[in-house]
Amino acid sequence: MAGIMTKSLAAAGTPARPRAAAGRAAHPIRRLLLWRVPLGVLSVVLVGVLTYLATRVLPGDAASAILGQFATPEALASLREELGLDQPLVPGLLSWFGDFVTGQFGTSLATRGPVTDVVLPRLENSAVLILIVALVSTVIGVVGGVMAANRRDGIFDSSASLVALVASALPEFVVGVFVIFVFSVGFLDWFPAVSIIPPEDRIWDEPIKLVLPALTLVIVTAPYMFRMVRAAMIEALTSDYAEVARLKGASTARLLFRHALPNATAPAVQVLGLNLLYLAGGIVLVETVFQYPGIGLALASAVQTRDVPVLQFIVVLLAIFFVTLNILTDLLVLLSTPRRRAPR
Amino acid sequence: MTTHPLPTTSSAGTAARVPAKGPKRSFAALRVLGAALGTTRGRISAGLTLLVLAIAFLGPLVPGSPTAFAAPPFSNPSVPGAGLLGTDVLGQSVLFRVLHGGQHLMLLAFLATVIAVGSGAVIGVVAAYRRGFVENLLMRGVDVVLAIPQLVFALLLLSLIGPEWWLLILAVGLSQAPQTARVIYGAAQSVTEKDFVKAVAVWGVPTRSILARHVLPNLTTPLMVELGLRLSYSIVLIAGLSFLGFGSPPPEPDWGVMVNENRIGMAANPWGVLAPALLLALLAVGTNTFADAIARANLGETRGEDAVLGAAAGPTTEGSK
Amino acid sequence: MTDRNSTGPGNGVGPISRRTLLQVGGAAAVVVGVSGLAACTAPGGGPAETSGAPSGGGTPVRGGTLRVGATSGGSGDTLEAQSPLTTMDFLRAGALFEQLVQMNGTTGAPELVLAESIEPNADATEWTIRIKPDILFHNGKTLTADDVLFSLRRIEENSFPGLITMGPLDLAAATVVDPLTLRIPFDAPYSIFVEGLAGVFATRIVPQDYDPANPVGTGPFTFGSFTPGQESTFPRFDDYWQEGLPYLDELVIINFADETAQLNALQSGQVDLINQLSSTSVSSVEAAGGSVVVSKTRAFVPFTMRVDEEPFSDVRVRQALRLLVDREAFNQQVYGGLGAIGNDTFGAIDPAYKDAVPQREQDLEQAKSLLRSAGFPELQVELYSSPIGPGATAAASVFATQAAQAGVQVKIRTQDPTQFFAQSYTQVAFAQSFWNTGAYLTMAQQGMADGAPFNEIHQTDAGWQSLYAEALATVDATARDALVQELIRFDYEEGGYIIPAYFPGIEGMNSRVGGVTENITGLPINGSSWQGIWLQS
Repeated sequence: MAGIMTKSLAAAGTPARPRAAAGRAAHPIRRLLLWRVPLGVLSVVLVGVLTYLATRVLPGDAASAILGQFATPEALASLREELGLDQPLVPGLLSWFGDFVTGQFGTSLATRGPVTDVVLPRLENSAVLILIVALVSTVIGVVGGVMAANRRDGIFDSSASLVALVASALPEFVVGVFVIFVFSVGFLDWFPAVSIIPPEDRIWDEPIKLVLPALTLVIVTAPYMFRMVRAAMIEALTSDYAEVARLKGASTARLLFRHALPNATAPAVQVLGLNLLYLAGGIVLVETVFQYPGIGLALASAVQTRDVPVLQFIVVLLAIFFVTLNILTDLLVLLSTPRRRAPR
Repeated sequence: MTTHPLPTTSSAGTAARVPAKGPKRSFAALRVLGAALGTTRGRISAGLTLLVLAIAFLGPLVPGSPTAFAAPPFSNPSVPGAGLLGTDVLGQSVLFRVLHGGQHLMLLAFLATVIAVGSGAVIGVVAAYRRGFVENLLMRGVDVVLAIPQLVFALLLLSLIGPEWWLLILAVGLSQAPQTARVIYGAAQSVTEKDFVKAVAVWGVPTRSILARHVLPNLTTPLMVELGLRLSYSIVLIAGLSFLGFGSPPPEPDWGVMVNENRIGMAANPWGVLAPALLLALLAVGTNTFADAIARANLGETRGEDAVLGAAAGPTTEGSK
Repeated sequence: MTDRNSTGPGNGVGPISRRTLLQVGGAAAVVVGVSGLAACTAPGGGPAETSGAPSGGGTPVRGGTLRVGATSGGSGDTLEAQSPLTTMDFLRAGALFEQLVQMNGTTGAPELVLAESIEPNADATEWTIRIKPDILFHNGKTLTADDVLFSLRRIEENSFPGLITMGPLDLAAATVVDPLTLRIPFDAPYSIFVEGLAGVFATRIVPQDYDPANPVGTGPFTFGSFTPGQESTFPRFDDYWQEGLPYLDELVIINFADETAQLNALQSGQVDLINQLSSTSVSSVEAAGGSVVVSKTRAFVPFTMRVDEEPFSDVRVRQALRLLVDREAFNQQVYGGLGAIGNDTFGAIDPAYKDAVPQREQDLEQAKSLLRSAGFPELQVELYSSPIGPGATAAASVFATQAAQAGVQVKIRTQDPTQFFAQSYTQVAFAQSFWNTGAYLTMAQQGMADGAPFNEIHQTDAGWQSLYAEALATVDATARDALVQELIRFDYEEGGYIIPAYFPGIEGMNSRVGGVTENITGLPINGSSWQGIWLQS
């Protein structure tokens, strides 16, 4: 997608100077917000309703999950009453919705404590992992992409492109298993293979346990950034505009950083957004492999124990994150791509 | 709200090159494939894919039982009777389980891909051709669906109904349909704006046959690229869901399940994990790279890369509507 | 992008989950015998190795914090004294609370703990419990008969799982004779009260002002902290009634979601002791310099056939399926040969079990001919399987493979434990279950008697029921054993259980851990008694 945008820039022969066109028109931006925000809200509501319905038809509820083999009818009935599971469908949905909007996220059916107590610490752990991975893979991707584009088809470009092509196709749990094998139990004994920490701690108290999960996710996300940046850079470097700059005697460095790199901003921002989106959902498998105390494991455990309030909370949080990030990414892409901001 | 530079508008390039009443779609498909096979990248990736396909589909013909007890669990290949790749968590031959464990996954991935590309293409083409209300309804619907964390719903559905194969392919297929819909929508827009399409519409040709005979044939390249990419993603997704416990039921072997259940014996006999993991990796890389080769061979180096990356970027919604 | 996203979260079902919901009512008492105290050896099916050399060697040392990594827990974890549900719940309950009687770790026979004696009257319609003097609760109060009565009533009021094995007692009419003596009348003769109390559920004793939020017991450790699904800590109880015990300063129990993570944590030193391992982990633990204690338990993950549903309502089909199993191979494949061969009936620790019936062997020809005569020459059955106990998934897989040799097609339907227990357990015709070590009569009380809560096989045979009632009213141990033998013979011929093997209890630890011994009960770490465990510095 990014490539196309940069192409249209190149065709127009407009220098990519993000600020140049600022203020010319807020139209597309306003239009974007007008369209996207209501749609986003709709999506989130839809997610909430769907999750609620799905959990209602899910076989077994929190009471039967807790009691397991001991779920005699009497024990079930009394626990259901205690947990407030005897609410009819529609009123249950409405009251959940009302509570959620007013910031009452409810009580976990499994721990009987506030949902936020269960979810927020996990959320922090996952957020740290996601941010570190996003940062590292962006740096690696951008630096690698610029280097590869600079010497196109050189040794670095060919080998890095090949590695990126392979790595971007690998299933993340396969990468995780290989990483454990190499760095933890098979060859080297450098890092812990599991990331379990005491409940009162956060992952940054024991940063060594971040290493392998983060490495796994970087391997999966960096190639995409690399390929995008490389493509955008090559396109910019082969454009007429770059040709002209070269003829005018611009140095390689100037050409790269002054002229080409700004063209890679929009795609990089977009890939960053995509990587963040992927990470928000895709960490589940990696958290499972490493027993990383994050939101993915919390979600999985909530499904298993039929802890509907926790499940709802996490899913809706994820949906809000998805929607916001989508809008934000598009907004940033729009802002860093002058031509498209103009009204047509 | 007219033109709308979506990622793969570049594939309009193909449309321009293929004459309106050009060769039948099947020939077009062959031509697109042939072009990909003309490149080194295409040949290598096709070779990899075919190799894994051969193992998956011919493997079950090799005499040997994937469920019989061969040697104590996690015996390495040096133990007598353990076979070339040793034994797994239940003392079964890893070699025979690997040979038998790919077919199921592969069939599911193919079906999921057909569902993803089929439904996605229909939505995309109809939206591009119809315009107006239908277009808005379909594409905004796609936007809304894309904002739902599909993984959660795949999991909920699978927990709800159980690890049924049809549910697995539906979940994997439909979760990818929106991305395909966006890509095909983008590519189809430029085709439906062509004069010949407008012309046949004026002659009163029924919509369905316009779409089938005039629009779709001109989308061969993006469709082929999508097929390759979605196949690659379907394989990764299905293997991941198998890894999480939604694979084929025991005692049937399944590569994704094998990676999980043999992890525990990785130190004693790493082949129980490495063999299925390597095959999954080869397959994913092979199909993905072949899609890449199709795009590059038919759209040119730069546009091909754009198309592949753009397809992967599907979910980001386009802004300026 | 959402391509990758859609990969479902972990744990829906499957390997990672492993919410090994242990403990059916199974874990019930043991050796039959009125006083229940007669030492009793050689449980059936092969001798349980006597409590063996403790791990770690050397003499016990005081001090240290032991970190234990265990599976089966989750965010539904509880500290509830009298209603523990998972193995991890039992581990925690064992640190805080104690029972009147418990199962001996070697024989499974009842062994007095808080009680000094438990005696019946002549026809077992009244039992007298005397407790040991000077036992302190964590809050400094002394244990009295009133606390015992309160504890038993609490079980009754809440219908906790232990209620069923306490028998037809009349707690309303119970009298506290003196501060250490409690007398309880029964509505009907109940000769197995001691065995019932020894069951893991029945009698964890709590003080009268028990507050579940701040649990107080008489156990070797006190309550420190508890985060469901993650970790709990238990500091040493300095006024513990057993002199010099416990050895440890603190016990920390940490949740793990799967065995791979447990092993990795042991190898990297994050925990000292891990439990409920599969046989395949033995070599990994030993390779990493740790040691392993393997217990021959009499706990099992059976296949349950409903005797009132097609095709299992035909006894020939049940017999045929039992004949399909190659038990030795099953034990090798599922439990690495570390388990013990089963024989399809309850009561493996009963004196009556030995020599009651011959060991059943695989006989495919006989199985085929039984199926042909029953009119199912090409039988297809659907087996509901769930990871509810050690080796459950593997057991289903191996059973299906063995059955296929006789042309019986077993289709396995895998469900997550919650769904399994909510929808399938005791409902479907062919499923799996979990039972801890127990004596025949108490297990039968939970699984087969009238009104049994875990009647998985739906047995209602009138002859069986009257024999069973007779046994409960028979105080003389020898006479009762004869009745139990008859019941076992019935189950062996007509019952709905397939019990291919008893699973081994496997615990792995680093070289610093001492005091871990073999234990027959199926509960990890010496039947979840922590006072004898020590840690070398």
